[in-house]
Amino acid sequence: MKNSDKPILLVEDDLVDVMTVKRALKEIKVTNPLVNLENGEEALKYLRNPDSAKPCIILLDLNMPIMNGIEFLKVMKLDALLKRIPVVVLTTSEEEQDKMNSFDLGVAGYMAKPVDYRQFVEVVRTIDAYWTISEVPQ
Amino acid sequence: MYTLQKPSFRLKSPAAIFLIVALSVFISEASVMLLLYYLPERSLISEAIVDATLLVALISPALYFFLFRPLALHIRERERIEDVLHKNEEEQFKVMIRTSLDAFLITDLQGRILEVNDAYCSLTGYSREELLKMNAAELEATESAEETASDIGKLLETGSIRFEARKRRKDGHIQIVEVSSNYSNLNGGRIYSFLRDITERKQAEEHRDSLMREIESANEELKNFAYVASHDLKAPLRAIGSLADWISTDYADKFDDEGRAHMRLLISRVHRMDGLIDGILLYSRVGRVKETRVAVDLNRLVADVIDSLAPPAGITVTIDNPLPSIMTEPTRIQQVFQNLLSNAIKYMDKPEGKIRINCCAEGRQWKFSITDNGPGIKQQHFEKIFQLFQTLAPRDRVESSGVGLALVKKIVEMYGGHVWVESALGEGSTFFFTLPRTTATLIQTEGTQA
Repeated sequence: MKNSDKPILLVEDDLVDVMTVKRALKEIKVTNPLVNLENGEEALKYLRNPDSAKPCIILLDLNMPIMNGIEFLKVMKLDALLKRIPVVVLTTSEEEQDKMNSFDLGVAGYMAKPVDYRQFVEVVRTIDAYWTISEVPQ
Repeated sequence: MYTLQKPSFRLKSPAAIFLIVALSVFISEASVMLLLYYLPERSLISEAIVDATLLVALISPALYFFLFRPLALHIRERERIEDVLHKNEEEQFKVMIRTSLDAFLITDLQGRILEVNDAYCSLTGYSREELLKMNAAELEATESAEETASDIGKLLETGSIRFEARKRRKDGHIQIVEVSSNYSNLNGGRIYSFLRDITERKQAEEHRDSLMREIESANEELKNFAYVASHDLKAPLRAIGSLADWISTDYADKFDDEGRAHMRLLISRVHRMDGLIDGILLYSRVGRVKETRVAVDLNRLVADVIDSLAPPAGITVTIDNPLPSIMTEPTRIQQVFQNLLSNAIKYMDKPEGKIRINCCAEGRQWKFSITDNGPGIKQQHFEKIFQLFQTLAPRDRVESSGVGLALVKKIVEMYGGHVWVESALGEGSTFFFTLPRTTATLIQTEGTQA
């Protein structure tokens, strides 16, 4: 990631999926701290708290209890302070509708979680490579 | 001479008289006929002629005898015949109304009932005597007096109307009737109506509609169920896959050969289940997710499919004749060819594999066929192979989800086509499918223009 001190925000409720992301990040030697919150509402609370560090990227699951990924995007993209944080959707859903909704809400990427862990590592590696090169507004 | 002449005169004179009389009778008859011919039926003139006959008799007996009397007689006879015919017609009309299964009703413009038939009495439950004292509006179940008045207004404008109405029977039951009314301006305006009880038909229609709604919602639920279920199954499956991967990596040195083999099997089963879930998702998506239909050039599409399947060196795929362009969802038709061709390639057991694609017009359909010289299929399996998750080879030998042919069948049937197989064991199989040509032909001409 471009700023190795900024945290990566992972909005994900499945424990093993969180472990998978952590393990993959460790494996490809990404040193950013990882903040994990288990639904959209928690994530908004964190992002709007002036004490918390703003993340360099948000990895967002779509299927979550209380506030799902699409609902989270709808709120976040209307918030002037949050809307420029890049969001990469990380989901099981390969539904066209989910993809359309996500891109309508200005996501920076849409990745389907592969069942195979090795492939998952490759997905995370690609995300990291891209966001290491890409410029982001401060 | 004188005496001679006289008899000759006498001889001549009866002939002359006869001639004169015959001539006058002929002229009078002819003029009577002519007059009758041009006289309009039951006109004032004919009435005047009859009335004037006596007067003419007094003034001029000759005119009376030769013209007016026969004329008056003829007119009276004609009127008598007309009356008989008219009475016959009226009688016929009455019998027809009595015979009718439909209820019949005559009212005046105020809705007062003037005549009904037996069917109307049994429809309403009132006797004829009761009905003749009633107003048609009293039988309306839901319609207000204003609405009835507006209906009558419409009838006067157009001359005839047809509508549905709800009537209240004497016993209080409401029935739905179909009414056909005609207006006639006879006797100060009459409304003639035939009524038919359609309560049962209406109830059957309502019942059918509610059944359709139930089926639709059940179907909708089923569609979503497959999608939601397969979706939710994937998350834990991925967790199992990841955990198995980490265990076999992190504890590699602690496993013996058997343990490692078991972990490999575990992970491969996770992949298989993943394939099955993808299959369900794919299958449930057909019909649930609609694409817009566009003109698809099958020559190009099939060539692309063959390219993507990359058949191994020993297998040749040929297209026998040019394929048509059809109006369809590109993804779906691509899935049909992709599954049929990949099966032909996957199961090929001959060193020199030959796969042929053919298409011909058959009536209103295109008939496509994909022929291979592979292992062939036993006739007893011809139906089974099109069912979801049915495979003929053990999955450990040929990895297959068992979704392909079920998907092909679902897609082809969704388009109103038909899919089947013909095969001889050891010699090969031919898969046939049809697609309606109706839109296809039109698109083909568009295609050549473009």
